[in-house]
Order: sequence, then C-alpha cells, then structure tokens
Amino acid sequence: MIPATIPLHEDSAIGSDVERTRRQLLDICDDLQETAEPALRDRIAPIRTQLANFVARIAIVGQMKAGKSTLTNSLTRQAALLPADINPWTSVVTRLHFGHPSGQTSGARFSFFDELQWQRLATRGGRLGELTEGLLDDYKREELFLQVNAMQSRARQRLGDSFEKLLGKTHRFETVTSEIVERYVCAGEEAEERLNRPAAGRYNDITHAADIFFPRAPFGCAVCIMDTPGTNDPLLIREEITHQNLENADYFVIVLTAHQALTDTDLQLVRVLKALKRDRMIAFVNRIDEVNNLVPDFEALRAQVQGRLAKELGGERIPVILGSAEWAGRASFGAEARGDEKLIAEVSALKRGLPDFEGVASDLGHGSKADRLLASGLAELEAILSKSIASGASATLFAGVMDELTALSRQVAGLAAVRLRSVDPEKAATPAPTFEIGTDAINRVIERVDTWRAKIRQSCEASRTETRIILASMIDKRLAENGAELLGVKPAADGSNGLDTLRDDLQERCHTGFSAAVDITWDALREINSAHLTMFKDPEAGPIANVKARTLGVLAVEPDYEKIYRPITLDVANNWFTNLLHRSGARLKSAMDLAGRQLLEACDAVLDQCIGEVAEEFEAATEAYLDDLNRVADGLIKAQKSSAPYTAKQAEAEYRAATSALQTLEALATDLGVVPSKSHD
Amino acid sequence: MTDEASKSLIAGLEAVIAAAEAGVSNAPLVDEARRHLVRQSRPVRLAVTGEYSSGKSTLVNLMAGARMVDTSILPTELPPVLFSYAAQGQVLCGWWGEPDRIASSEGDMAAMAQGQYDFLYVTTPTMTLRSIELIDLPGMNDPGRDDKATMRLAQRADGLIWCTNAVNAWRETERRHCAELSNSKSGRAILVVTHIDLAAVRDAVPRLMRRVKNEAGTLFRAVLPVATPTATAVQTALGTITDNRIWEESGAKALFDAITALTTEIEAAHVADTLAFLDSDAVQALLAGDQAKPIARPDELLSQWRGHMHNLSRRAPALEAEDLARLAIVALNELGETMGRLSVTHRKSAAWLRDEVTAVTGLITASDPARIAALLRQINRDLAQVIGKLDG
Repeated sequence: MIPATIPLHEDSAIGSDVERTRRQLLDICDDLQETAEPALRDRIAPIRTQLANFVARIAIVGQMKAGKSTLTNSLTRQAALLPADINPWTSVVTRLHFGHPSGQTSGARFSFFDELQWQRLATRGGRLGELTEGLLDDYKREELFLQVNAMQSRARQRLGDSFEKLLGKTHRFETVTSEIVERYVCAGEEAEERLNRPAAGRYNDITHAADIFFPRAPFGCAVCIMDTPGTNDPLLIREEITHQNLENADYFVIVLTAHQALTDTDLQLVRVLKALKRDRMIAFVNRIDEVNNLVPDFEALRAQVQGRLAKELGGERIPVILGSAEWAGRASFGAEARGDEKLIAEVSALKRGLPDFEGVASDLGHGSKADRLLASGLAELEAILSKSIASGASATLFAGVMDELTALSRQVAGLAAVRLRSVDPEKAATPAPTFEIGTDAINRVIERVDTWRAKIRQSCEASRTETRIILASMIDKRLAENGAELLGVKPAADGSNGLDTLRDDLQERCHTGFSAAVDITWDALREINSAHLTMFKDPEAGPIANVKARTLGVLAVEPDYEKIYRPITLDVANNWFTNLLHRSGARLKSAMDLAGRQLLEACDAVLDQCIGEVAEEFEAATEAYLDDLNRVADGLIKAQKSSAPYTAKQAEAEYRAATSALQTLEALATDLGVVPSKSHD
Repeated sequence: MTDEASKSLIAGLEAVIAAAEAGVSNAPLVDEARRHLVRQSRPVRLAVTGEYSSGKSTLVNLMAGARMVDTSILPTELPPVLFSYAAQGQVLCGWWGEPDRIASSEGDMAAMAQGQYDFLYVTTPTMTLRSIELIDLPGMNDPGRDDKATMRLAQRADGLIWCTNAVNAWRETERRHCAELSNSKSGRAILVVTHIDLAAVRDAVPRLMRRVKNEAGTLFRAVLPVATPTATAVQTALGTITDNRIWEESGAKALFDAITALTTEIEAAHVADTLAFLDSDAVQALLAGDQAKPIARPDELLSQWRGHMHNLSRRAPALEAEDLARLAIVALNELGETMGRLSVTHRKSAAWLRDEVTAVTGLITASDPARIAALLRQINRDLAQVIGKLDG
C-alpha cells in the first residue's frame, strides 16, 4: 500500500490556523513554566495538557453504501486503505489518528470485545435487546438474536474454539497494510467466496475498536477521523455500533447519496446528531457522478436538501456539498479517468459560476486537477471543515486557556515587579511596597468562597429538581393526551412524528434548567471577582488585585442531549409493533409507561451530566482562585523579606517572560476576535 | 383464460347480483359478488414500488412501452400513475372509489392543474398491457410524503414489483416495508435490482445478487437484475424489441417472463376463487330461489349458540344423560348449518371450526355427560376465538 500523502495546498491544510494558535499558546506555557516557581508550574501543567491533547474529531456518518469509506480515503489521502465494496463492508468503527497526542505516527491497534461485552451482546442483544424486552413476540427482536448468534458461530468457525481466549485482548501492528485492516474491520465474504480472500474479515466479528496511526500531515492540526458502519443496514448490529460511537466526535460529515438525496432515514440520523452538536454538521451528497440530468437540477437539489435539513434543524442552514468521492479519489491519487471527464468539467464550470464557490475556486486555480477537486466537492469539504474546526471546539478551548494564561501572567508580572524592587531598589522606579496581606483577609476570602460554594451547590440541586418535576409532568401529560399519536397508531394532526416534537420540547426544557444553573454560577464567579477587587483596591495590592477566578470554563460546558434522542421502546414500537399494539390497550399502556420512564431517565442523565459539570467547574475555578491567592500572598511576603532567595536576574527574567506572554496573548486575542463574552446560547 | 370462460364467469356473477338484489338481507352476498366482478372484469393489477429514485418510473416506462413518466433525481411530486391498455393513448385523472369519474385533461383542466385527483390514468396501445395493469406508486422514504397511504395502495394490488437500487441495495427500510407487504403478497412479489449498468457496480453485480438473494430471497418469488436503460434502448415506442440478444442480456426478458408467469398464476387463483364462490351453498341456494337461507352474520351465529348453551346449562342438572347428548347434538348440528351459511370469506376463515364441530358431533354418546360438557366447552372457546377474528 502506498500512503499517497498529497496535501491540497500545504499552508491551508485542514486545521493549520488552529495549530499555529495552539503552538503559540504551548510556547507561552513553556516560557512561564521555565521561569516560574514550582507552585506556578503545577498550576500551568493541566492547562498545557489540555492544549497538548487537542484533537479535532470528525465522524463520517450516513446510510450503508453511501460511500463513507471512499470519502474517508480521499480526505485522509490514504489510497485504498479502507476497503470499499458493493456489499456493506465496514462493520467496525475505525478511528484514523493523524498526529495523535501520544506521538504515535504509525501502526495500528485492534481491540476485541471483552468477555462481559461479548456475553451481553450474545445473550441479550445489547442495548437494542434491552429495549425490546417485554415486547418479546417481535420479528425484529428475533432477527437481532439470530444475527448475534450468527456472529458468534461465525467467529467460532473463523477463529476456532480458542476464540474466547482472544476476548479482551488487543492486537498491535508496527506497520499497517490494507490486508491487515481487512482482516479486522471488514464484514468478510459469504462462505463460497472465502476461498479467494481467506483472511478478509477474520477477526471482524469480535473486533470492538480499530485505531490506526499516521503522521499529522496531510492535516494542519491533530485530527481523528472516524469511519462508521452505515445506518439502515439489515444487520442491526452495525447500526447499533455506529450509534454507540457518535458522541465521541466534534464534527459530523453526513454522507448522502445523489440517488436519494435525503430520506426519512437520514433525517432520523440528523435528529440524533442535532442533539449532539447542531452547528457542526456538513452534508455531503455523494455519487453525483452516477445520476442523470445532474447539471440542470444541481441548484434545485442542493436547495431542496438544505431546505429540508433546515426544517429539521429549526431553521439552521448547514453547508450542503454536492460531490463525488470517486472523483475526489481520482483527484487525490491521480488514478485514471473513467470517461466522465466531460461531466467533471461541466460540474466544475457550474460551481465556478456560483457565488458560494468564489473563495474555494480561486484558491484552487485552474487545470484538470483543480477541476476534479472542485467538482468532487473535496475542496469545499476541506475548506468548510477547516473553518468549523477554527470556530468550534478549538475556539472554546483557546478562549478558556487564554483567559487563564492572561490572569497567571499578570500575577507573575506583578509579583516579579515587587521582587525586582525589593532585591534591587535602585532599578525600581517606585519604592518597595509596604502592602501586606494578613491571614485575616485570606480567611475572609475563604469564608466568602465557602458561602458561595454552599449556595451554588444548593442552587444547582434546586434547578435540577425543579426541571425534573417539570419534565416528568410534561412526559405524563403528553403521553396521556396523545399516546396513540406518539405510537404511530394514529397519525398526528400536523403530520409530524409526535415523539420527536416531545423530544425537542424535553431538550428545550433541559436547556432552560441547564442555562439557569450556568447563569447562577457565572454570576457567582463574577461576584467573587468583584468582591475581590473591592477588598484589594489598595494600589499597593498590585499582584493580589490581579488574582481572579476563571469564568469562561463554566460557559464551555456542553450538555450532551444525544441521550434524549437515543431510541427508546416507543420508537421500537413505532416501527415494529404498531399493529400489535393497536389490538391491545393494556400493551399500549405498558409500552407508554415504559417509554415515559426511559425518556425521564434519559433527561435525568442529561441533567446529571451538564449541571454536574457546571457545579464541578465552579468548584475547580474557586479552588484555583484560592490557590492563586495563597501563592501570590506567599510570594509577596517572601519578596518583601530581604532573605528572599531571588536574584535580580531571576526576577527580571520572570518579569520579561510574563510581559512578553501578555503581549502575545493580547495579539492573539485581537487576531482571533476573542472577547470574553457570555454567549452560551 | 379464454375470453369465453371469462364471459361465462362474469355472466354468472351478474346473475347472482340480480337474484340477490331481488331478495332481502342479502347485502353481504351482493358485496362479495361485486368484488369478484371487479376482479374478473379488469386485468391483473401489479404495483411497482420502491424507495424514491430507485428506478421505478424508468422501469414502468419500459414495461408499459411508454415514455410517459418523468424521471428525475429530485423526489417526484407525481401521484400514483395507473397504466392501462386502450387503442387510444390518453392521460386522464381519476379518483379512488369513483370508477365512473374519470376526467380527461381537456375536460377537467382545473382539477388536473390543482392536483385535486387521486391518481393519473394513462392509457396506451401497448400489447403487454392487454393482460396487466401497472400502477406506479410514489417512492417511499421520502421526507415529504406519508408512506402509509402508499403502503395501503400496494396492499390492494394483486401483485408487487419492488425496485431496489444496486448502488445501495436492500437496506433495512426496504426490508421492513417488504416484510409488512409480504403478509398479503405471499409468493406474488418480484424484486428488481436496478442501476446495474452503472460503472460503480457493473463488475460486482454477481456478488451483489448473491447477498441480496441471501437476505431478501424469502420475501420474493424472484430476484432479478435489470439494466433498464440498456433494455429501453432496444425497445420501440409500442414495445417491439429490436435486438433480442441485448434485450435478454439486460435482464428485461427474464423480468417479462417472470411477470407473465406471475400474472397467469394470479389469474388462475382469481378464477378458482370466483368458481368457489359461485359454487358455494349460499349462492346455490339463492339461485335455486331458496330465500329461507340468507347469509349468516357472525353475531347471529354467536347469539344462536349462546341460546343453546344457556338452555343446556340451565336444564343439565335435571336431564338424563341420553337427553343431554341429544340436545348437544341438536345444538352442534344447528351450529354447523349456520356456519355453512356464512359468507364465503367468513366461511373460509371458520372452516377448521366447522370440521371440528362435525368431528365433535360424532364423538358425543350418552355414556359420559362430563365428556359432553368438556367437548361443548371446547367448542365454546373455539367459537369465541373465531367470532373475534371474523368481527375484526
């Protein structure tokens, strides 16, 4: 296998802006750590770790046979790494790591199900099995069990009876080839074909996760690309595996096919995703090379897909790219033409004529490769991904990090100035300060923070309880009012899927509760900061006045609403049991009760997660604030004593490092347009 | 079936309707005769379905030898289109349940322009349409449409052709819809794998077909790959084939053969059904002028039986074993007789119970009153179950 590493245009590879910023921030951390005292080093270490571990995680999702693996190959410049086939072929979530924080840049790791996971899957069909419990006489449930059984006996047949010894193990490879990948992540052939490719799919039935490592190029920053098994596959297990992995990504490329640009099935997937990260989705309508009459319908098709998605996403218009993974592959790997060069030229000319493409087209220039890249949609996809990485997870991370580093640099600079004056009064413009912070003052601060902590704990708890009560009554009321519509036994008056409207309302209510918790916490942190400034307003208090509690962390907490949108019994019922339930009122009632419980449990889990994280962040922020206060107070006392173990040179170096960090941070903030603001809605 | 035979069936049915309408309380019999009449007087109706953009319309155009339906990558806004034979090609609009209300495009432009009709009705003088009608249904899984209405139309057709796109053939949504339809279409459905001519799939079709047959085989009588554009290229406007080799290689021949076999089988089943109806006791009695035996309704059956049971249980303690056996036999005979007067469809669903009743009647002797009671209880339970089904 030839890893064809052909970045499109070196300096604008995906995430290179983000990487530049990250490097600068890492340098500041290093400079401060180098000059500062041990206590400060401990404070900076976790910030540095956050930066070092930054990875943009992109999931490629969509229905089976939409062309996800082919698109992944082009996007990652790995010709034919992931095998694509006429039959659904990817059965494991494959994570491709580019520039992994661990430093690993080659090889692969395949982890197998452990004993417990395997048993659960085998005996109860996993979570899908649990959902269908109590609704036993369903064909799909039987289907699920049959599939799990088939999977088990296939594993036994391919690996021998000793296969159980493999459970829980991990296979590692120094270098990876597409044959190795095939062995672990492919579905493998039917029995009669296996003679030709005996190794394909050998381990796939028991493989739980596949991780393959590459150098950071062709990307500008560390990236993890997740190729997922398709949804809407009659092999239900594959779909279940995809669902379990969705929450581990920051950005989603939804691959659709031009044959059927947007189906109900795709909208179901979008509904789940919008609960996760609604602003980080890109739709890629693949296979435009395979349909007739494309050019005249081009804009209409794009507008229709975008319009329907917007309707689903509450009016939000996400980018919709019309393209071809096949053409993208040819552009990336220079493979041979397949006789549709005329269509490529037409599509490329069409795109060049549209205002949306001006930027991308002028970056690409002209020529047949540029035409292919433009027509294939790969150039657009990369440009959009790059932009959303810059404004997405990284922006939140950077704003928080910059906020903290600024506060720390100010403390260091202030303290260094004091030291400088005390060790070498000649050099100081003003006389050494006489300000001394008493234990009294510190104790008062601690007391105040403790009061706030108790208050916040109580408020968060109250907000959670109140929200929960409202949610429970919402669920009860809606199920009682139109349970039949929710179950699909009766069509809803407005033609909507009743359960999804209920979910949207539940999410909205959860968000209200969460926002209330964020507001209270944010206000409390600012109160602490303003009380601090009032208390230490003495001009001599210099470095002490610079201490503040961080406030951005609490705004970075993201609720994980996906849980609300995970299938529950009622969805299962909607699809499979409608007829059955129609006949029996008692069964309908029990299905509804069960569904109500499951929805409330999901909401509970969401509230626990997001409000819990807000409360934790408050604790951590105030902890850091008290640490800083103690450290600076301590430093101040030491600096004022002649016996302080500092030389003028050290103090000068510290001062320089801190002020230069401050300058860099200020420039960065202007560059990125970061204004610490409250914008978590 | 010969036209001659068909005419005699139709004449027979019309005679039944005339006789039944002359009498009283024969409504179920009239309805049933009318259903048979509709079936006998129109060609076998095949529904062409699938998810949207699965190549349905292109395939319908091929089968109808007409280029009437637009094909597009955008989901079509078209209603169902019914293709039927006529010497004169025409596009009309029609309404379900109102067979006489057919509007031509000239006659009812307003309705047509506003789309206030249930289906389009296209007639062409294509030979293949002499023995079948095709109904091109809207594509499923389209976010703008409700699949339930389409499913009902598919259920109502005599046979089914489901199209799946080779590029992403046989997904869960398709399997689910087909599994639901197969309940009523057992052995009367054909799966067509379209788009096999595309470069992306061309070389791998045999492997694809193996998987699809493997996963979908039990739901269909045949799974056939068809390169529709290739076949269309060698077909003239009215269905004449210009190159038999290409026609065969495209898979179109195999499809047409399969459709012919399916149509013949459905026709034969319809004839057998109608003959059984004409031969039934109720119809025979009606034609013999015996108005004393009207069609029995399930609730009538139930109340009659309950009367007997009530009588028996009230009198049982005072009865000799012989009298008990005699009364039980009377009740069972009467039950059997009433069941014989159920409508044909009801009688079919209850046939096993009628056999049971006959068998039980033979088992009753005066020797064991407890056994008689047990047998009656058994029949009572079975009857409740049967009536429940007939009413639903």
